Parts: sequence; C-alpha cells; structure tokens
Amino acid sequence: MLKNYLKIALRNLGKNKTFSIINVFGLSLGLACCLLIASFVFSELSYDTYPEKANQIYRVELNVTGNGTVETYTNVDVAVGAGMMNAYPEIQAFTRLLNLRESFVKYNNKEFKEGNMAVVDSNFLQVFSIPFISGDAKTALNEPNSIVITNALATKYFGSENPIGKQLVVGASTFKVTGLIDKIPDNSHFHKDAFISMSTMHLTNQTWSNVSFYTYLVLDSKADPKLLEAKFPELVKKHVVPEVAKDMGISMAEAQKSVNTFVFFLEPLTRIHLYSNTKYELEANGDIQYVYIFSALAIFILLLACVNFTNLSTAASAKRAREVGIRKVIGSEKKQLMIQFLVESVLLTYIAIVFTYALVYALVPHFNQLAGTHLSFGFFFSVPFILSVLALGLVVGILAGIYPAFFLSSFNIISVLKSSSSTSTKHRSPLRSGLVIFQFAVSTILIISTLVVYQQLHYMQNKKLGYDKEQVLYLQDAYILGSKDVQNSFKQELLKDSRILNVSVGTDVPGNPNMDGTQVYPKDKAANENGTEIHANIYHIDYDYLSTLGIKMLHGRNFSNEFPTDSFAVIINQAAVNDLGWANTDPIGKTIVTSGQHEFKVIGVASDFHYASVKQKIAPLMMMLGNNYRTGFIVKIKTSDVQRLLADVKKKWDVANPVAPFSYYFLDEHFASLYAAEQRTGQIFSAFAIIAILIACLGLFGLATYITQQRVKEIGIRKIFGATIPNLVMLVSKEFLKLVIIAFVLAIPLAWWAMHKWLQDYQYRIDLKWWIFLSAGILVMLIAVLTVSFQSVKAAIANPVKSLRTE
Amino acid sequence: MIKIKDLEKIYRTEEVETIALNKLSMEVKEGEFVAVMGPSGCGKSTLLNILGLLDDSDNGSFVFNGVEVTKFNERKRAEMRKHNIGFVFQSFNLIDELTVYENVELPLIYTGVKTPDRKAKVEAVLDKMKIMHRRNHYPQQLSGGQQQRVAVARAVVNNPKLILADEPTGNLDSSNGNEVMELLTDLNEQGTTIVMVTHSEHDAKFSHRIIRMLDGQTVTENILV
Ligand SMILES: Nc1ncnc2c1ncn2[C@@H]1O[C@H](COP(=O)(O)OP(=O)(O)OP(=O)(O)O)[C@@H](O)[C@H]1O
Ligand SMILES: [Mg+2]
Repeated sequence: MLKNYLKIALRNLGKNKTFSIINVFGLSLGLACCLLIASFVFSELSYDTYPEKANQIYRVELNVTGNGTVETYTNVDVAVGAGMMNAYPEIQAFTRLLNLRESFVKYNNKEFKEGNMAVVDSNFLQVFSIPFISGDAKTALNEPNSIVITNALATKYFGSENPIGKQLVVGASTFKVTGLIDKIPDNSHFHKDAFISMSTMHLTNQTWSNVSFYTYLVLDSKADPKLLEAKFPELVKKHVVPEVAKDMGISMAEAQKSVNTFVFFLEPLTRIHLYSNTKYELEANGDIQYVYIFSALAIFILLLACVNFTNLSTAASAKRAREVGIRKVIGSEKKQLMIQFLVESVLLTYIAIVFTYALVYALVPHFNQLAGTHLSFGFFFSVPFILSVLALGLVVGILAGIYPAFFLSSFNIISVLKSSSSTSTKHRSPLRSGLVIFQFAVSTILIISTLVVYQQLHYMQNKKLGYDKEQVLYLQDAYILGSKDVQNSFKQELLKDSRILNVSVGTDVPGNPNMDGTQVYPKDKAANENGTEIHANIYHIDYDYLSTLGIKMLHGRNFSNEFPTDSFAVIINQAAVNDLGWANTDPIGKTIVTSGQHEFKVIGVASDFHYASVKQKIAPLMMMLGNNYRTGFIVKIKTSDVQRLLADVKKKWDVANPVAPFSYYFLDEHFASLYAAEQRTGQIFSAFAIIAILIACLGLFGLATYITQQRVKEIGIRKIFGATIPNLVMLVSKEFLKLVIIAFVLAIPLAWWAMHKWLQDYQYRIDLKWWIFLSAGILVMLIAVLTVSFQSVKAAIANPVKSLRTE
Repeated sequence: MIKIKDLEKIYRTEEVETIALNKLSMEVKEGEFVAVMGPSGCGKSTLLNILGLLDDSDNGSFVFNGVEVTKFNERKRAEMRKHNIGFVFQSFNLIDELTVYENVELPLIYTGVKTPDRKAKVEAVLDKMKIMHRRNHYPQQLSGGQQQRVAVARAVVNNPKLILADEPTGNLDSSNGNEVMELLTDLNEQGTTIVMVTHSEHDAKFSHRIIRMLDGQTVTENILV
C-alpha cells in the first residue's frame, strides 16, 4: 500500500513541476534556516558543559547596591574562595582566575603582544577538565613562574620544537613552560592562550572587599547552592565588615550598615554564557533573548514554507479531484486518502531535506560569519542530528499536508465524477487568504525590524559623542618607547609636524572597555549615609587630554603644571556631579573620598562625553593626572593624506626606539567596532527578512499561476467584450493586493511593539517614525505586485480565442 | 440481490427542488443483466449512484444482499462497495498518473490482497480483456475502446457480485462498443449481476430485461429473455 502511495506521489510531483519546484525550494530554504539556527541554539546551550563536574561548578559573584542601583561583579577578592571552602564542607574545591593585562612575550628574538593570558590556581585546568597534551596536569602549575600554553601559542614561539621546559619572558619575568594543552573548547565562557601559576603572585594580602579574582567553587553533587548562598552573610560579617571599618576609618557598627548591600551569590557555570551579562565578563557572552528570538524566527520561516504547500495544494485541488473520486468509487476510505496525501507531503519534505543539506553546506561559512559561531558541516551529519532532522521532516510534512489531505479527501464523489472535466474549485478560500496574510505579515514585520535595527545603528554611530573622534590617531603602548623623557621628546618631535595639532600622552582612550573604577563618596556627607556612595570610573589623563579630544569644560579649570597640588585634584563629568548630589551646589573645591581613604579635590567639571558605548548611559567619571599602564599617544591630526602622515610618524617612532613594535588605530574606526553586535543583529534580520519575503513570494507566484489558469476562460470572455489589459491585470492582482494590505495593517502594531521593546535596551535610541512602517509597507507591496503581475499580464495579453478553444 | 421500495431522491438548490427519484421501486435478482433506459434527466444516473452506494437516498428502503443499507455511514458503505460492486463509466475514469496495470491493481490494494495474489489476478483479468500487451501504458496512450476495457477490467478484478455501468459505450464507436458489450455479457454468463444505463436500444438488447424510466419513476419493464 505504502509503495503505491509513494509511486503516485512521485509521479504527481514530477507532473506538476511548478508546484513541486516552488514547494521543494521554499521548504529547503525554510528547513535550511531552521537547521542552521537549531545548530546555533544547540551550540549556545552547550556552553561550559564540557567539564566533568559542569553541573557542580558555580562562579562566586557579588552584588553591591549603591545609590539605588545594583552593580554585579562576576569576580571577587583574593581570599573569598579559600575562605568559603574552609567554612563550608559541601565545597569540594575552589579555583581562581586573574586576568593578566596585555603584555609583551618574548622568546629569543620573537616578541609579540599577548592580550589573552591569565593567572590561575594550580587546580584550575583540572577543575575545567582541560586535557594536557604534555606535562603533568596535577603539578604543572604548582611552582611559581610556571606557564601552561596552548598549541597555537607554542607554535607561534617555538615552531615545531617541544615547548616543555622552554623559557618565555612575559613582561619582565621569566616563565618555564610546564604544560601544553590543545586549546580551551570553543563553547567555553573564556578562552585563554596561556595560564600562569598563581604562586607566582606571592599573594599575602588576604582581603575580602575588593574584586578581580574570578572564583569558581566545586560543590558536592548533593549540595544545594541556595542553602549555601544563604550562609554567605555570616562570612560578610566576619571578614568584610572589619576590613571596611579599617579601610574607611569607621566603627564596626557603621561598617556593618554600609556593607549590608554586599551580597555574595553563586552563578551556575552552565548559565554564565547565556544569562550573565555584566561589565565584568571574561568575554562577551551570548544572550538567551537572542536564542529565543532566533528560534522563533526559524519556526516562523518554516511555517511560511508550510503555508506555501498548503495553499498550492488546495489551489491545485481541481487537478486531483477526479483521482479522489475514482479512488473513492473503487473503495478507498477517507482515512486512506488522507494518508495518501500525507505521504505525498512528507515525501516532498524529504526531497526538500536533500536540497536543504546542499544549501546548508553552502551557507555554513556565511552563517558562521553572520552569527559568530564555529559550526562545521560535519555537525549536521551527527547521528542524533540526522535523526532529529528526519523527525522534523515528518512533522513539517504532516503540518504542511494535513489541511490539503483533509480538504482533498472530503470531495464528494458524485459531483467530482459527474463532469468528465475536472470540477473547478472556488478561487477564493478564506483559509488560503488567511495564510497569505500570515506570510506577508511576518515578512513585513521582519522588514520593519531590519529597518529599525539599521536606523538605531546609524544613530549610534553618528551620535554626537562629546569629543572629536574624527582624525584622531591612537599609538598604543607608549611605555615601551622607554622612560618618561623618551616619551616626552617623542611627543615634542610629533608636534614639530604641522599636520599634528595636539598630542596627549599616558592616558585612557575613549571606547576602551578597560578602565579603573572605585567606590567613592563626597566628603561633605558621611560615608555610611544611605545612597551617597557611588561607583565612578577613573581616567588617567594629562594636561593636553581635554584639548586633544575637544572635550568641553563646564566649570572650573583644566589641570595645569602651575599648580603642584593638582596631583590630588580631579576633574569630574556632569554625571558624577549629579550622582554625588551636587547638582544644585557648586562642585568646585569639594572633596571626593575614594576607597582606601584617598582624598581628591574637584577643580573642574567636564561636559558628559561617551567614553563607553552609546548603548550605556554615561556613568560618573573622575579624571586625574598620572600614568597608568594603558598608556598611549592620542594624536589629533589634520591631513588629507593619512597614509603619508602615518609613515612619517612611524619614522619618528623608530628613531625614538628602533626595537619597540609600532601599533596604532584610528579612534573613529575603533568606535565603529563597538557596535559589532548591532551590526550582526541587523545583518541577521535582513537575511531572515529576505528569506521570508522570498518564500512568501514563491507561494504568491504559485497561487497566482493556478488562479489565473482557472480564470483563463473568464479573462478571455472579458477581453472579447472589451476589457483592456490594465483592466484585466488589475482584476487578477486586486485580490492579492488586498491580502497584502491587510497583512500590512496587522503587522504595524506587532512590529511597533517588538521594536519598542528591543529599543528599551538602549539608553540613547531613535523614535519609531511612521515613515519606517510606510516604506516597509510600500516595499512589500511592490514586491507582491511584481510577483503577481508576471502571471496576470501573461494571461491578459494572451489571445482570448485560443484560451476559449482549449476549454 | 437488490430490492428497492419507494425510493426518493430530492436535489435542493437555492432556487429549485428537483425530484430526481420519485417513490421508485424495483428489484434485481442475482445473475440478472438489466438495462435502464429513459430520456435525459429522468434520474438514471441518480439511481445508479444510489445502487452503487455512492450517494444516499432521502426516503424509502434499499436492501442489498438482504441488508438494509440506507442508514449506512460513509465508512460502512465504502466497505460494502469495495467487496461487492464494480463500476464502469461512460468517461472511463481511469487515473492518469497510473499505468494500465496499476489502475486495475488499485481495487485489490484497497481490499488488502497480498502482492503475489494481486499480480496473478491482475494478469488474469488483463489477459481476459486482451489488454495485457498494454499493461505498462498510461491511459492517455490508449484508444477509447482500450480505455473502457481497462475500466471493465478494473471493475471485475475483485470478482464483484454486481457491476454497475453508466453508458459504458457512450464514448465509443460501434465496433468498440460491441466489444465492451460482449465482455459484459461474458461476465454475466459467469454469474455476475449487471445493471447498465444506456441510451442505445442496440446495447439494451444484450440484457435480459429493460427498465424504462420517466421523471424519476419506472414506467415499463420489457423482459427480453
Ligand atoms: N447535484 C445535483 N443538484 C441538483 N440537481 C441534480 C443534481 N444531480 C442531478 N440533478 C437533477 O436530477 C435529475 C436527474 O439527473 P440524472 O443525472 O440522474 O439524469 P440522467 O437520467 O442520468 O440523465 P442523462 O441521460 O442525461 O445522463 C435531473 O433533473 C438533474 O437536473
Ligand atoms: Mg446520466
């Protein structure tokens, strides 16, 4: 029986080629989208599941409430891990990771800057079950000045030589390579190239109230993390309170009050990638929201493809009606006919799956680029994946075929067989109209979303930032030039060039996420007064910083070497003024106290500028004189021949220090890279929008084909009696356009709602303008008109005598 | 085999009510060959559809093989139909997507006959209808007479007790028509009951008895043999 079904299904597909091609192509596209996204979702969900005890590992994190806002730190102080483990037996082990700042690494005459190294406890790689290629996993990181490196790093420095036992110079210290690993798995929330032993640091200060150490606990398999978390306040009381009292010079009672907002908690390892999204992540994480959004999109695209099948099958039902009638006469039951039609749709889906794999093969590299994933084509051939795909094919086939099966099998025998020609079914069907509306509503929503995402991106990239980012060159790593004197004479050399307007040295640069920060409070209010302590970021700047970047002063003055006391002075931004509660008083001359009881006097207020991404609200900033390790030269230039200027600057750099590596970037380009995520979202949305509209138009094209075929006689008669070609095109197109307009009307509120929600994540955002919606509507309409008119024009210009004779 | 009493069939459309069968009564015995004749629109096809359990009646009784079938549901009717009744239509009604062999095989598939048995039966009947050499052709590749022979083959392959034929020769020339009539006569001689609607007095002569209809009623019955 099944064989017979398959046979006739295959022949039918072969006979109705347009129908089959449209359906197979649409379904393949839909399924390919679906598979790519499914693999993306699987890979997102697989993050950090690779350690043997993945489900028992938790990261200790810290919530600090200040000024009504909660700041979440994903790292804690040096003593927290050991302290917790000693206090609670359900903790089997702890391990810590400390980010190492960018350093130059040297072996013989090879020297590179490495920004991806960490200092870790000796058990770190074992806790994360990272296998060693060589070296002893148990002891490799016991001794000070030991380093475990990845294959990639080993090849970079040692070529094909055995790295074990080699000496690497990192910054000023020498390390012995004691272990080699392949790499940290792709689906990890951190990817380091080198791990240095914690014992190198000679950590003696056992403090609890600072941050920086990413601390992971391994709990007993039976331990309840919630119960454990509940005990943490006692540790805060025991360790944090005395420390704060001492640091800030206040009583224990006062200290207890001020640390009430200090809450340690546990983040399950496997949730970090999708649920943790703070400023203090080891790498940019994923976002569960996007997993949901993409899954929803995949399902919608697949539904669009199913709709095509349903619509075309019912529209073409006239062709099948006679067959249904004959089968019923011969003795087929309705159920058997339904199965027959379902076999047909499932078979079609399986044919589509073959093409899907071809499509996926072609699309995987693009998709990886688009979504930032590392999928390989082989993944799609894993047995569980193939089984899921086959199951999916069954579901999709049934979903697409169930209505046509029901519809076709319900034909009345007599009316079908009465005339030898096939019965003509109505060309209007409410269900079909509804489905077309659904397709175009989804397409319209996607197009509107794409437009909005790109508009927001454009807005962020072109927003006035409060400083000049055009024609600003940043020379990285000023410190490697040599002493302060060398740096200064290099700066003087630069300024001799008339194309160079200004140079600032030894400073933080806008757009760099790494910066210092601290808890501060205004001295004129008590430290423990509720809500007076705020978090402020710190920029280390020099005398020329504000003028080089064109940052405006609102009050007070810039730093000046005429005032020796300026090393304890600070310029703050307007946001800091507001948050410190000084909006209504003159902040100049007031004193700010940082943690550690250092006092700084406010000498100026700068206007707010976007030193971080425009996505974030401008946070309080303190700018003080002085150097820190992230030094570089900010060079304001004015030239139309940037390449020549660069070459001249490099010449001067090489004169100042012939061996120091020269690296630079332009501030505006760097700034643009801050919006890679939005860029990506925009690209993904436009890809989906294009696919959706393509599938919808395929369906529309098919429908238009059938319906014009059915109306060919009517069109012929109308033409004989005087209808013009535009009349006829309108006659046929009208019905479809009506559906597209309804879809548009339905899409507007949905798209508005979704985009309104999406924009909420942005502190500075565009308004949703009516013309975005209108232009999306017009675009969809035009595409639909073009699609339909292809068929309607063909029918309208045909010779009516011919179409009537063939009837 | 067939006992019909006071059978009524009324078609209702928005404007008009058509009484297609008006308290019609008739009987067909096992082994009979009956021709139904009458002017166009008198209800012949309607009657045949009801006899074939393709359609239901509005009033009256229809006893088929001793069973009252007017209250049967769709599924039961399909069941009854596929085991007992074969159909031959004026327009052949073969499935274009299936070959001759497959068209004839179809009723056997629906009645659940096993593959090897099917092969034997289909080949036997194709042989009998002298259409074996065309077994792998599609209906469009055959002449009208050949198509009707395939349709007859399909109607008889299941060994039905009753064959219903609605103007089986209507689309054929006289020599092809005669061939089909001879096939039906042969089948009847081997014991199959046949009810045939026809406009042709010539064809009607092949039957044992002619039922003449007018306006949904039987008017006369001529016994020919
Ligand atoms: N589906 C229907 N709806 C309404 N009226 C119908 C329907 N089918 C048949 N009729 C009417 O019922 C009457 C009997 O029709 P039927 O098809 O049985 O005639 P017939 O005797 O087979 O005619 P012919 O020799 O032309 O085939 C006719 O008046 C016809 O118009
Ligand atoms: Mg008739």
